[in-house]
Amino acid sequence: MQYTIQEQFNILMKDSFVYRNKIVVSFVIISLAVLSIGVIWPKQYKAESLIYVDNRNVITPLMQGAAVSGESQDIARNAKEIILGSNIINKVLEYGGWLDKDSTPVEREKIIEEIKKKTTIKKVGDSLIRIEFTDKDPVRAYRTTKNMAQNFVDVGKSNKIQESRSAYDFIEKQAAEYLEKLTSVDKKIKDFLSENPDARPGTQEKVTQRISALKLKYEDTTLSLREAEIKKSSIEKQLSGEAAMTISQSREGNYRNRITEMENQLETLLLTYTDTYPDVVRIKRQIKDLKSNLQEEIRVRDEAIVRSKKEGTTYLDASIATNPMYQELRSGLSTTETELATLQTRLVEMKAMLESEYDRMRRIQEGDAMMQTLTRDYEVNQGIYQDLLKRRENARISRSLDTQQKGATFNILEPAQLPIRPFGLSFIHFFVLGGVLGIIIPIGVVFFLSQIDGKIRSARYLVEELKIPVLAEVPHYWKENEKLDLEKNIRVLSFSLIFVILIYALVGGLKFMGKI
Amino acid sequence: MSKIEDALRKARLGGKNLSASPASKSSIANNPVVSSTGNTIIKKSSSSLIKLMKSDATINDEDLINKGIILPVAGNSKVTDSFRYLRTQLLQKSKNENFIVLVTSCFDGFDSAFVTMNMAAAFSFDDSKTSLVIDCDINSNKIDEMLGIEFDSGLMDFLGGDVNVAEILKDIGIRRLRIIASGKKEQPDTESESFTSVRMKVLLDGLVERYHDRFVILNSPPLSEQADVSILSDLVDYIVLVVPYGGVTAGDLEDALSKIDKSKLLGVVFNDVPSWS
Repeated sequence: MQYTIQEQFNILMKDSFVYRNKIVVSFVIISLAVLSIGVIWPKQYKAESLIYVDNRNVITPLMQGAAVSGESQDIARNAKEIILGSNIINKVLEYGGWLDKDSTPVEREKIIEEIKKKTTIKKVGDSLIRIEFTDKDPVRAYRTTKNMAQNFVDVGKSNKIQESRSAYDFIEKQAAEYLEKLTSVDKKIKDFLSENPDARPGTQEKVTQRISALKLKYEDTTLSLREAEIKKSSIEKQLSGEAAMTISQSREGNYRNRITEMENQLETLLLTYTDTYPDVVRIKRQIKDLKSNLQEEIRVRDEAIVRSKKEGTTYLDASIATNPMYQELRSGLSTTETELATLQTRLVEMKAMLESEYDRMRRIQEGDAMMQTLTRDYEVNQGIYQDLLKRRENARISRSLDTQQKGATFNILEPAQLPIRPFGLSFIHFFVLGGVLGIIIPIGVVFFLSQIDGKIRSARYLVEELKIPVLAEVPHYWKENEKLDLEKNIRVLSFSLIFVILIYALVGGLKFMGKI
Repeated sequence: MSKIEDALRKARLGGKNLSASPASKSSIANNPVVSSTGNTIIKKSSSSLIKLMKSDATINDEDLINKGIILPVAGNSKVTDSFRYLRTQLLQKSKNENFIVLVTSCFDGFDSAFVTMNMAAAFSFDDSKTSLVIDCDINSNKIDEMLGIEFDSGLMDFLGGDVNVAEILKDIGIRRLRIIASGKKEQPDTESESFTSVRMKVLLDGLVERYHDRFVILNSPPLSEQADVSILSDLVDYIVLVVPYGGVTAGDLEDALSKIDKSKLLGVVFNDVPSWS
């Protein structure tokens, strides 16, 4: 239904007229009911106190960077737990004037529940809390609030001292623990060093140097060995049959040269002399001798070759054996052989030494790893221990600060005041509210119903929205007797309204004068 | 409005009869209408018939107000004015010709009888016009109750053939206003059929054709009784729908409109708007 505001108003007026009886009856009931509630509504007094709370944990700043502590808790909730805890609330009961002499435990419990309900504790700043207490007796409200605040601060302070004490103890204990650890690691290191001499620092370098020196020597020796071997084989080659043959062949050549020489001399002599010339005869015999020597030489050699081939021995003839060169070679050979043997022995020894050095190296490395672990443990523990010593001094200072109550930890910033004016809803509120609600509620209901029932209440709506022509708009027809009834009805309703207004004036006046 | 009417009346009394000529031109009016009972409705000029009617008001103003019927002067002037306005609207639509109009409502209980009677009363304010109410709402006797009269015969009796027209045309003491009551209700099942009878058609034709200053207003059953209304709507020139203030939703109204011939619908009368004077 799209009605204009003007139409809405007209419809509301018309419907209000139609439902005038119900509206007036509702008005009378609602306004008088609210007024009655206002008359009997108790006055409430509120006392409040503002408290500074140091919500920092003592251990947190002391252990800053060294350990991680949990999130700091909601101080308002903590405060509530403390204030409404049995310790404080029992003191409040006594001092606040809540108890009669003969209160039973059940009554006591009820009173405690009541106090809990009336208490509000809220966080107003970073470290400020406000305690509010509402009661119908202003003095009792004041006393209760004051008590709660005082007790809370006392408990808070003593807790703080306790806390810094235990923080000191904690750090002290931690320091002792680390000292013990440090000592034990130290001892372990000592033991290890005495058991493993190789594990001393620097040993590894020495061993490495030694290994490399040994390796160098080993290689040198290997080289010398090779050399000696080559030398030996070459000497042996020189001493072999081939060498003897060469010597023999050179002797044969000597013979041949001398023969050629003789024959040349002979020919020269024969040019001048006859065959019988003594010189010629001598030369001829010499040549003959030389030839026979040559033959002999060749024969001996051939035999020797055959024999050596047959027996496999070096062909040696007396001339060779006695040859000084040969003698020298032989002695050279034996020297080389001796040298070779020596070198081989040395090589084996060196190899063994190298192996043992390698072994040692391995041992050193194992020892090193162990040593490193131990050293690291030692260094870490040492660092923590020194840190803890510093912190322990800080904790000692903050402990004495709290013990002497020099640190601003808990303070009553605003002490509780005796409330003079009542708080919350007062009679005047109900007085006004009764009239306003009495009018608004029934008319609102009428308006709401006319909005939701979807019934057509405007001729304009028919014409413009539904496109149905309206021939005429006929108002309600009042018959004579109906008119009389209406007048009577209006009179009754007016009297009802006047009655309510009179009641309001009466009750308001009495209240103002303080009679009620 | 009432002043204009008074002036017109005075003018007519002083001079000749102005409304006589259009009615006498009607050719059908010269033929007598024969009812099934054999009685003839006497042919006469409309102006003379008006004079023949018992036109003296036999009912006083206070009675009328208490019966919920408007007066040309004084009392409930807002309601009177609204019906005068309605009459003007209807005359404009019909171009001053007389007509048969059906007054109906969406549901039973909505006061079509009130609108019917007062519409007739508004027409009868004018000296030159007469109005006739035919109560076709057979199942209820709203009009009887409203007027506080028990009619001895009515429409159903006529359609049943028991009586002639003259017998059922009743004068209830309002000038220039006649009424045909619903009549006996012996055969409630056959009423719809009764409306389809020739006698009904002839009756309506005769009533309109004969007197050209006569406006026939049918009080119809509500649209919730669909059969009756659709038969009746075939017989009439126009339909007027009564919509009470705060009585129907747009949906109800659309339902109701779907049941009638839109071309005959002149519009709605927005009835019973709350008023304190």
